[in-house]
Order: sequence, then structure tokens, then C-alpha cells
Amino acid sequence: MKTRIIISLLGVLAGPVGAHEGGHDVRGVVSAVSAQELTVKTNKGSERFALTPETEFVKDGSPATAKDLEESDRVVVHAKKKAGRMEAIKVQSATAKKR
Amino acid sequence: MLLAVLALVLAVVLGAVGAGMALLLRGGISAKVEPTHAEAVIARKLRSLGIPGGYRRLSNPLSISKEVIEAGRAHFADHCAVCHANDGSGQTQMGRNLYPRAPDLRLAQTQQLGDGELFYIIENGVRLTGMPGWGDGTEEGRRASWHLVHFIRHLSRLTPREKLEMEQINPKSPEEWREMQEDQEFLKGKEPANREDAHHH
Repeated sequence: MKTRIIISLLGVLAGPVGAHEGGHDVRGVVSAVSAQELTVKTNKGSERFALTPETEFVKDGSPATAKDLEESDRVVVHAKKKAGRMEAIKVQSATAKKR
Repeated sequence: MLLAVLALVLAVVLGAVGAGMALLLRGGISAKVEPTHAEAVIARKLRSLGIPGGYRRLSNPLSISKEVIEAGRAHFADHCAVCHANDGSGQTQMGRNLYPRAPDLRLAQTQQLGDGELFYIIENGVRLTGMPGWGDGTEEGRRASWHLVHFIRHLSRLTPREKLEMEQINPKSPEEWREMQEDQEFLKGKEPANREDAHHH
């Protein structure tokens, strides 16, 4: 019980594990993707994110790579500004539904 | 003779006070400054000396198995990852800002510790660091700590799939749960609500 209380307190103080301080998160649709860069169309416009070897990819709930991203896929991007650019930390995506 | 002893005691006290003052002048009580190399070496040595000899010779009494690793992984995700990160790198907001920093558990400084030493640290914590003592004196608690020892050995072989599973277990605030739910609904096709930027502190 005591353990649970301490952990809960830590959770409240620290926020979620992997939380990125001052991060930038968007939801949108992939409009372009390369090994180095991802462009996402959001309801506010278009945003570009640098992809790095550290970027984590998840597609349809499974671990993935940048190569698995396709135009029109829905994505949730968790990013952080670094060295003057927005670097994607984690990219979650879902395969676009066939029309 | 008495005078010499008093002089020696005085010199030691003055030296300790001087060292303390130097540390305070260097960074006050801030946890932001990096521990000096000497401080880190002394602290590690003191930690090593502080672990009873009997523990140093202990081997993990639990055989390694898929179930043991899974139990250790779930426990680590729920209890340890907030500071140590799911991959053991220590790269979390908490871990990066502790004094001393949460160590990268995959590196030799941790991996070279014996099973019993890791177990002792998990159970008893380390004074004047962010590492709490998790032991609750129960057999169940001890088994959980031994599971963790196996999992710490496994960290360098952690797969993306395992890391993803851990992310589902990591403690989250109600706001984070809501955002995660909304992310999943969006990915499944629901029209997006604007995603607010994260400003976690």
C-alpha cells in the first residue's frame, strides 16, 4: 500500500513516463514522408518534423519504422524542438482506410 | 600528544567544512549541477562499502524464464520507469534532474554489480539519492525484487514490442489517460479535436 502511495505521488509530480518537457504534439494526416522528414497536414495547416534514429514508430499498435508510413495515414506525432527544428520523438500511425 | 590529536581533529573538521563550503559555493543546493568525478567515485565507493558482504555473494535464487522477465518488466514499468525510463537509460524528466542523475542501468557500472548487490539496492534504496528502498519485508516483495534483478540484466536486449507494452503500464495522470484515449480514437478514424501541446513539468 505504502509503495502504491509513493508511486502515485511520483506519478503526479513527474507526469507520465517519457513525457517530453515543453513538447509539441499534433494529430493529422501524412502528406509526405522520407527517411529524414515527415510532413503532416493538420486542421491548422501543415507541419514538418525531422525524423532521427531515435524516433520511435508505432503503426496499428505494433512497432514500426519510417518506411511503414504512407501518405494519407493518420498520425499522432510527439515532437520536441531541438537545434532549431522540430524533432519527432514518437510517431503513432494507423493505416489509411481504403475508399 | 593530546595537543596533536586535537590539532588533527580540528584539521579534519576544518577540511570537511571547507569541502562543504566549496560544494555550496559551486552550486548551492541545486540539483542541476553535475556531480564532480571525485564525488561520484566516492559515492559509488561508499555505496559499495555500505552493502553487507553477505549480499555481494548472493546469486538470484529464481531461475530465469519468460514469465519471470514479464513479471519484472511489468513491475519495472509501473514502479521504476518514472525515473529510470522503460529502457533503463534514465532519460526521463525525473531521472535527468535527480542528484545524482538516475544511472543508465544498461552500462557496466550497474551490470557489473552482483545479483545480491542489485537486490540489496532495490530492497533498501541508497541514502542521499533519489533511490527509495522498496522492500516491504514480505516474501512476495522479495520475489518481486529478484524478478527486477533478472529484468535489469535483460534491459540491453529490450525489444520495441516490449517497450510498447511497458508504455501501456507506465503510470499516467488523468489528463494523460484522456489524451491517450483521444489519440487512439483519432487513429481509428474519429475527427480530431485539436491536440494541445504538452507542457509537462
